[in-house]
Amino acid sequence: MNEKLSALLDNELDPAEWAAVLDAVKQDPQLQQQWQEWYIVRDALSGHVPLSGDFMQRFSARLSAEPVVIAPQRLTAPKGKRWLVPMATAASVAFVGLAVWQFSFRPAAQPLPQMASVSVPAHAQVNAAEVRAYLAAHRNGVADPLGGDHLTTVSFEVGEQR
Amino acid sequence: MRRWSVNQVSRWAVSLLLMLGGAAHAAEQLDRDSAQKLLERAAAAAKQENYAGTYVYQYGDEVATYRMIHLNDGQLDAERRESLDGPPREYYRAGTQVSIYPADQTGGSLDRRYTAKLFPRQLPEQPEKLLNVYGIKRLGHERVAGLQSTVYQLEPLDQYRYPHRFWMDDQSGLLLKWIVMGMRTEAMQTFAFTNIQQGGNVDRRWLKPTRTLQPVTIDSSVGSAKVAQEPGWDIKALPNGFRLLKQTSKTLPGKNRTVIHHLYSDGLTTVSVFIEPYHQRLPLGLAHQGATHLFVRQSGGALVMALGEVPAVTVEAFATAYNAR
Repeated sequence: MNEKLSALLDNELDPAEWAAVLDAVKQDPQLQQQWQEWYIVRDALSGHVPLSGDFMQRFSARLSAEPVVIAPQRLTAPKGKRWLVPMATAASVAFVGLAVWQFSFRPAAQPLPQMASVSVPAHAQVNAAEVRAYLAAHRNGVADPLGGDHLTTVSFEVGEQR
Repeated sequence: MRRWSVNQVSRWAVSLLLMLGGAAHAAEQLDRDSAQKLLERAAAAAKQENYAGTYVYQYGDEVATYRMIHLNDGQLDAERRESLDGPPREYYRAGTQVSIYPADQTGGSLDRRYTAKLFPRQLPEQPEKLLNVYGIKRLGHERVAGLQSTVYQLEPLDQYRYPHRFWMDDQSGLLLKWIVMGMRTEAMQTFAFTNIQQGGNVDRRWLKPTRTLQPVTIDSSVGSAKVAQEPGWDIKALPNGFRLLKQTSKTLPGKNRTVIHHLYSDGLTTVSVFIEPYHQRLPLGLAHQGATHLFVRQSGGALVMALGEVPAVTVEAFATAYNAR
């Protein structure tokens, strides 16, 4: 399903399959998160400002008008189908909001021999959710509990600050 | 949260840089005794005084504004904070009990140690240990939120932490402004009152919450040992001044594996060390976001990650101090 979601994001999915993929997304919170993260990453890579609450609302409205995701005439969301809105709300109030983590690493140490076959790419994109959980644990209570949104646009870069 | 345009942010950053530069001369080093008295005065004022005002919090290029009130009548030490931009949020603390709006969806808890440590109250009440790793310089005088204040800087005595600059009200000793700086002495985080009332001018009615608040679980589990002890791990000497605050083992949100978490603090800044079974979802090495650094390495069959608002050498030192037996 991940491949199909990816294809949908890249506008490469057969329109006949849109409905099935979107139905699957509806059912599966993990796919919803995956979709969001890809969207953010894609936007970040193309130089757009990362996700805003406003974006999520527009996105929700669009998605609730599925299966014709991009049909402008159906942007008015029918009532009762705004399934993504609670998620958007949850995201905006989460202690650590949505984050794009673009990592580029210099490997710090040689991996162990049995790991050598799996090379670490020079520019690795790390799953945003992967790092977010650590940062949230680190900052739990340390930061202003009111200020969780301050992590919304963070992104990590190679090496140390100079 | 309100997002500022690039133009606004850069203008703001330029004026901040000018200001930082302007305040940087005529520094006078405080002796340890005066430094301790100074920090004690700031901590006591934040705890004992009544004050209410609006402050701005900047993190990276994000800016948010909050309104807060703090009252202490000798019986009850209470405060309320409210976000003024973006989605409404409220924080209310009476003694050690904290409630928030909106309710926390994640079921998380706040650490007891930090619930009373929000701006302008982040200084430890016993600053002796802090002064083992930071010295204090007096930089000059400046007006903040309409008040005359004196500018000081906590200068790290080694390479393992960043400078902090603060503005203290000449009258009350209250912190009016606090900047955590990065490698280039840029502002990494700023807290600054834009207006403040103190003493008898504070309207007590403002303490009353305006929304239905939900109590927050306060995590009062305390790390048992001063030195972290983890079966199967050798932990070598860590950077000076960092003490173990907390040692927990939990499943992080969205993860199906147990992660050991050691939280260290030098009194101002914190470093986390995470240990878990090795996986490849995090590339090894060093990364940073602004002045926040992260170091990931493999030790035996485990992954060790050190993370904190500290220089690269610090997270690297923490991560390499942990070795699987």
